[in-house]
Amino acid sequence: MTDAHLTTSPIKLHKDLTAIWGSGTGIERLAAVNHSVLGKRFIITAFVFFAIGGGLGMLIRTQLATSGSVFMDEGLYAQIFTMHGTIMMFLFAIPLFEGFAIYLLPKLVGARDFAFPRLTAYSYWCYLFGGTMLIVGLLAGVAPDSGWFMYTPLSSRTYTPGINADLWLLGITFVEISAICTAVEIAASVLKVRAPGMSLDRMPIFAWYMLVVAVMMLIGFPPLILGSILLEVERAFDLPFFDPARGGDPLLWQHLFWLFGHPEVYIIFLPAAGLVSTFLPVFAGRPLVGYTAIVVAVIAMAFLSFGLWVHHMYATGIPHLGLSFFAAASVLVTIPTAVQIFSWLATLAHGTPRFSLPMLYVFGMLFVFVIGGLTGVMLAIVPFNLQAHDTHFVVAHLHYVLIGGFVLPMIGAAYHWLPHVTGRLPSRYMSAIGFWTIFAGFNVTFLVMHLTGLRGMPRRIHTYIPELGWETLNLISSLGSFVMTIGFAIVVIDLLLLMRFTPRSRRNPWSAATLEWAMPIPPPSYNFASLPRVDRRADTLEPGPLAAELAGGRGYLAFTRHGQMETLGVEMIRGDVEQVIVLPRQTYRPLITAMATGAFFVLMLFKFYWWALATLPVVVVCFLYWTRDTGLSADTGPVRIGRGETAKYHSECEDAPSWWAMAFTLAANATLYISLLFGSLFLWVSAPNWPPPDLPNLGVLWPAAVAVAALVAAASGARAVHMAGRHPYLPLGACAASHAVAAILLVGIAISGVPAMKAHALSAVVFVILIYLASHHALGAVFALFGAARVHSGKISAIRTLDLRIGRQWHDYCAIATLVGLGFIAVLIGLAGSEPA
Amino acid sequence: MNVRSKSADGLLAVAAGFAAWAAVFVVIYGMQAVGCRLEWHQVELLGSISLQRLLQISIYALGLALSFVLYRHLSSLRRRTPHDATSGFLARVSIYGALAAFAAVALSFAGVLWLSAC
Repeated sequence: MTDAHLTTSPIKLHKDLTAIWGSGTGIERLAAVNHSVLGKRFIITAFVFFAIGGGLGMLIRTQLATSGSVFMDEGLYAQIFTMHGTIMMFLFAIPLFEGFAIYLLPKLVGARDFAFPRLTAYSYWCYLFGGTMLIVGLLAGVAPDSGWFMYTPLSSRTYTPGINADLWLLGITFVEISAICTAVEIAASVLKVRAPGMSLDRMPIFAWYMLVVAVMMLIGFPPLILGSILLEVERAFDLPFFDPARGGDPLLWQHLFWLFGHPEVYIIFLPAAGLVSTFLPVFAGRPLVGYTAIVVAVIAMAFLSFGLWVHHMYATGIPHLGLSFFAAASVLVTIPTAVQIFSWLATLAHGTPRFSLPMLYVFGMLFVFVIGGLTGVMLAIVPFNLQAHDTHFVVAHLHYVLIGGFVLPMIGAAYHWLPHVTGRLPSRYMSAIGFWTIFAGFNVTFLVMHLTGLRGMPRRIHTYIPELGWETLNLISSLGSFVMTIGFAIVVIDLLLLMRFTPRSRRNPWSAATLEWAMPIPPPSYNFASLPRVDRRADTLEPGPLAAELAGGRGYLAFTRHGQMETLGVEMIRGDVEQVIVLPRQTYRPLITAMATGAFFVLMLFKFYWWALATLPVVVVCFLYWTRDTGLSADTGPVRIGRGETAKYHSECEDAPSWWAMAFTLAANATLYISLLFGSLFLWVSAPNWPPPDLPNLGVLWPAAVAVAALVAAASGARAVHMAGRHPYLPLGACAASHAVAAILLVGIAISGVPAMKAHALSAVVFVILIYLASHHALGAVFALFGAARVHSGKISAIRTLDLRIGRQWHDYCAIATLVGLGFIAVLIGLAGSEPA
Repeated sequence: MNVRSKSADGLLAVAAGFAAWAAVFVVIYGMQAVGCRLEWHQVELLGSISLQRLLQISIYALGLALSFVLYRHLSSLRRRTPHDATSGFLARVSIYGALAAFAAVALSFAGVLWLSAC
């Protein structure tokens, strides 16, 4: 072995690996990129936000406990309930499951980390900064106050003139960047970074769940990001996307929001279900029943969840036929949900269940979530929904679903993996008291709330008169909510106490059969001293003997090499070893980049638009700086990975994780773009005051020139890949120049061909499409120039083409988006022009 | 076919059934909105059947046919292709998914047969 430092002693191996993988102390903690560290940060931060959101919930219940309450005025109440929903959905639920996934997934699939540790770190900082913006707004009395779904026109500038709505739109978009980054990270890593031999049919079921959830996030979140951008642009620059007086439509916001909002419910539920599917078999004493059926069910759920968003909009006057599509999908989605629940019951029925602490929460989940599911079926039925719409019945339903389907199983999961994180075993006594207090308090609060809703109490009202007969029910709900809060407090105290005072746990205290237990607890920074080969389904392993084998260096990569952080990449279906992935070391760059990103949002919030625009190149430069020490400067060929096998470095492989990361990023980007196009078509279909008196006139010549430039850019990018070993400066230069020409022409067309963009939604959407394309071509030029810089620095060769191929994906996307966009604009203007004004 | 495209094909197959369902959804819902905007429900063909309903029933029938053909194709592919445990697993997921998606198409869009479109 010439290139690897062979280590014979397990203790020396541990020390060598810790020196490379370990995060620093003191200020160096800010440079951490380790998935265990970042996963814990996500989880702890999410629970802090949960405490804040829970506190706001208590304020809501205090206000509603009695009729005619003067505890809060309506303005403050609006801020409180808006922030309660916003925090719970965006700052607690999503980041909490992301935290669990970040902490657990690499361990479950037998890897040392995710494929992009710096992206995980960037994601965390974006989440923290975005969430902090919202909390600071709350403390300053300017929190969002239009409901967590921010319906227009209430959230438009006319009715919310302050920065309250801007805070939501910008803060949440900032947090959504974090979610998209995490989704890309998870999807690419689950597919490519697993233990050798771990084919898709051997993957732990949680990896399947998270793969599907990550793809759902990539498709589900962009419509909300688009909606937020459009609404912020409308508020800031008066482009009328949602103003019906000028050809906009408030329903466009509702469609974009709920196209995100309903899949979001399943995006939250599925990770929790995935964790239950992972730890329930441990306590059932047998492998999960119906593994294949669950995979099919999760995929079915993912798709169906995108076909039922309109059940939040039944009351908006959509034709009966349209309602029937969404009602049918809303009912159908119960089937894959039931498949999972019956699989869990079958696992328990065929096993020898132990009623250990985490199982209490599974019991609570089954009880509460099934009730929530049944009221969900009721709400899926149009006539009932119209009766219960916007009443407290809906509030009760959604809390049964979210607490039953997410909070309870996540606490169960927390107790299950707590020994893994802390090295200490939870004690049953106080934990059980906490559970039963939560369970009782929750049901008192929300079971009664169904009745309050059926008696007609609307959501979001800050007070009511005693003659309506809602007071007793509300008082019971409020008392129950305080009991529930006491329960959560007991759980928190219990967790803090056990981290300090309970005895240390032995390894694998629950006798689980998954890979995360084949390591010391708490886990070392590198997870596995050597990587395992998996020869059976990953929930039927024997972690005890395996841990000894791996710690003894009898797996893959049982050595250090050039001080590099290395893990293995596999062929994504069969799990054959394919590549050695060299991960970036600890760095402050994600933090600095997140700060630059945050500067953009803060400057936008305070309406320094030109300064905000100026920060965008800074963000791009920050990201480019990440690449400074990545890649190889020479072809190396296959290197040893242990067990007598070799593999190439990922830079020399065709199928590197970063290629997939770009593919997933473009999928999310394309979803945003398609949402923009469909949204524009929706305005033509549904919005009043169409057609506009003046149509945009782009002409033919300049759009044709843009199309040609986009095609030349794509062709040059492709040519550069083919010439990779022969210094392809010429095609890369042509590519950059073509992109630049396209970008300049598009901006010119947008300014000269789309007059009066504030006068009508048609001009506004055409302008936005053109700017979208221009910004993409500008970035395309950056990609091409970056490729040339990589050639110049010796990071590109005939074998090492990865950077150019990633650039090519962008160039191709730009060409397709440009042709589609220009064609779409022509059709839209043609449709509008074919009607009398 | 390179390594990446072979792998991607295997993964795409597991989502193929419901991807077809989603495609039918987009086309049929989009067509409903566009048809109402262009007042196709006022254009009567074949007696009292409107152009709108005729087009929607056609899309529904095509969607059913597409889903069924996909299911049959995936089933026959499994019979024709020798497979190990992994490809067998992926084939089962693909086939069950396609079958479920066929049922979902049949149920989700049956309203085109009688409900008012606009």
